[in-house]
Amino acid sequence: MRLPTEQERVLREACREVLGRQSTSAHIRQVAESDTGFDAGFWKLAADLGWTALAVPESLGGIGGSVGDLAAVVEELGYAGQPGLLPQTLAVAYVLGRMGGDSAEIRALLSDIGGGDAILTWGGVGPDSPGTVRLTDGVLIGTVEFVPDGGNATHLAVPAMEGTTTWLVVVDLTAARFETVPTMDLTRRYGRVWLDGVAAGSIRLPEDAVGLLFDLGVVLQCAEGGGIARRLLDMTVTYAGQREQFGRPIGSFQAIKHRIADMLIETEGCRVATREAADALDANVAAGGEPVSVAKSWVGRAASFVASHALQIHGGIGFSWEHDLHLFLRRAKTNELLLGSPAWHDERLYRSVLAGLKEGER
Amino acid sequence: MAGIELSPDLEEFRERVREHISAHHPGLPRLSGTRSPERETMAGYRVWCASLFGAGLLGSDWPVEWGGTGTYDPLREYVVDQELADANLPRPVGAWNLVCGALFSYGTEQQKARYLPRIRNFEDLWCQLFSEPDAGSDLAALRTTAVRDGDHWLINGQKVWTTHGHVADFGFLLARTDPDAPKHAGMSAFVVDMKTPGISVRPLTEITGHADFNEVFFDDVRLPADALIGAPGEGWSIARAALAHERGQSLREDSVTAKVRRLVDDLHAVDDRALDDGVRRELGRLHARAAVVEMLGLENVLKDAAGQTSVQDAPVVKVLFSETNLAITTAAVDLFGPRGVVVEPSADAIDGGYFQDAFLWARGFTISAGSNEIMRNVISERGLGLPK
Repeated sequence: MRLPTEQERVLREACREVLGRQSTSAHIRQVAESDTGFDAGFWKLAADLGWTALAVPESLGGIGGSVGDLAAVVEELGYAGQPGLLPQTLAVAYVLGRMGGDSAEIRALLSDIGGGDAILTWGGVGPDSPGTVRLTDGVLIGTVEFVPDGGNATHLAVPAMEGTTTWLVVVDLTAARFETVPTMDLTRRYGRVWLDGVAAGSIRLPEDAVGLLFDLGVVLQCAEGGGIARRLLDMTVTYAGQREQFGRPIGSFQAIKHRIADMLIETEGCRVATREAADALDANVAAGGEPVSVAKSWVGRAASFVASHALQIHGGIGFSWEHDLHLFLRRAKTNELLLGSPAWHDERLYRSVLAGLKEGER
Repeated sequence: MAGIELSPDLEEFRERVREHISAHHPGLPRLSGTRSPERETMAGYRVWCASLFGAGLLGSDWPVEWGGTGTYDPLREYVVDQELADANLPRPVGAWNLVCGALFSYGTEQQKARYLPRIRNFEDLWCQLFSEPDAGSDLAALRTTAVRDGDHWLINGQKVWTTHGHVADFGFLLARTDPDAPKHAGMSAFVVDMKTPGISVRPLTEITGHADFNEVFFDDVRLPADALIGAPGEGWSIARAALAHERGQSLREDSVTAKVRRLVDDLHAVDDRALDDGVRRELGRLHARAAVVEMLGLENVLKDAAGQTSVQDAPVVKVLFSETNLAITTAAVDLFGPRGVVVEPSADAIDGGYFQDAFLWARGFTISAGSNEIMRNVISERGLGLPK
């Protein structure tokens, strides 16, 4: 455990300041209702401010940020409710930088990511997408489910099996077909990508990279969840201090106060669990399992718990479409169930505790 | 479970603690919860506690003139706590950490000279005389009276839930000196020699069947004038200053991740067939909660060291620790099934009845040291600024 670093603090404040102006309710709703759901203005801004280069190694002109740095930015995206593939792009860029080796293709892709010209997403890295993508003669066959914003990405990172070998391939999506599957999350589109006949290209990372991308994806999802929880807590504290019933602010009633105290407790846990998991991955790409699942077990439930209490305390106004609360509640619930539900991660944790005990017996 | 990465200085300090432990090992068991040292082993216990102060491992934050360095370093306290826990050794119990804060800020030179060195020598074990039958969460409702009578104070009333009252040499007492003043303003703080005539201490058996607390009755107890700490009416401020000095308690309780590991171990010992999905997931979820409790506890140590503590930090960990501990011990008893009801001295009791006892004990943590309801008020009112 450690306290936040100065770099994390600076990043966080910069993001909060910019997103406070950029990601207004009207703007987010406009993007959500557009044909593509793509926020071109935000992406340009993210590239101009260097956020897209955050996970690109310094040797390639990037910032070479730690997982903690990425999480700091993504938490603010969650707080703002900002749509888009920045978390996914940062995650894949980190994996490429850390495990991709040094090929001309990877250097070119990382350079495009840093400059904002490549937008990445992932598919098939966790338990969400059944079935296997096959790689034969340089061509992929298969389908992946629950791909975030597949229609707006230029590239997809996906595990593919060639014979008995599993690779993490990063492929150009131009030739792939994407079909949106409507989900509860109105500000991020998920869908199915058909990869049949798509060229696998030459970017192939060893199987360990699949595990790292999954763990990192979960950590950034948890960072986003922590931001969502904090936003809902702030909204609720403000509302409970202003809304009057029976001639008093409802926040003066102990029934409301105790719910809000529980919201803070859950939100605090999100912060430390995410930081611990981020540091574990930075220290050792293979060490993520336990702390990452601790984070998801906590944050997956906590963000939904906070959203549920927030809605109850807001009462009727929180139940209305025009209020932004449901956008966050929807995102929290969707995140909870994707990349392994908390119960899925609980099973992983049980096995890790048991393995630790058996280790101790030896 | 990840800990805190220690600086070379602290690593060196940790070595000193380890050397001290091996050189002065008292051969005494660690005290769980709020349990008191046994009378039979008290002499050795005092020597052990005094050795920790003497070596500067505890109380190093005290002013230089009273044997400390004047510098508070929560990370050193953390290291000591960790090492004592790992060695399964007891730490100095009692209200010494509370009363020293009161004496530093409000005590006369004479009082400091009389009591502080005896705390460090551990000649005196202290108890806290705050709670009363009608003053629990509403501490300021206390009714024990202290009436000035010539050069003495006359104390009458009753205290309850007094930890270590049956073995304590001195007590830190809050009593009402001005019944006409507003309730917070009419209280004063006193030092009480527990051998004073008129004090009777009666063990209070709690739901575990053990007597770990006491009722303390004051029947025309005459305290000398210099038993008063500070001025009459300053009792509430003194109590608050003292409580502020008493820090980082949560880390001193039993490790909740260790309890989850013990539960997994016990379940496999009872029946080593694979546990069903629901049970496995419940255990995984409890592990996650326990791990996060410990992370927040460690973060509070770091915040304290960096001077970044917020008012809600300690209450957040208190609530979370006590409720997670209750959830783990409740799950344990539930998951054992019918055999979960069997307790010692039956040889059938699983793991010697550890979790049955812990399940009952766990009820105390959500009530003591500020009930969780009071903690939630502190979090929402003082932490988040919700209206009173």
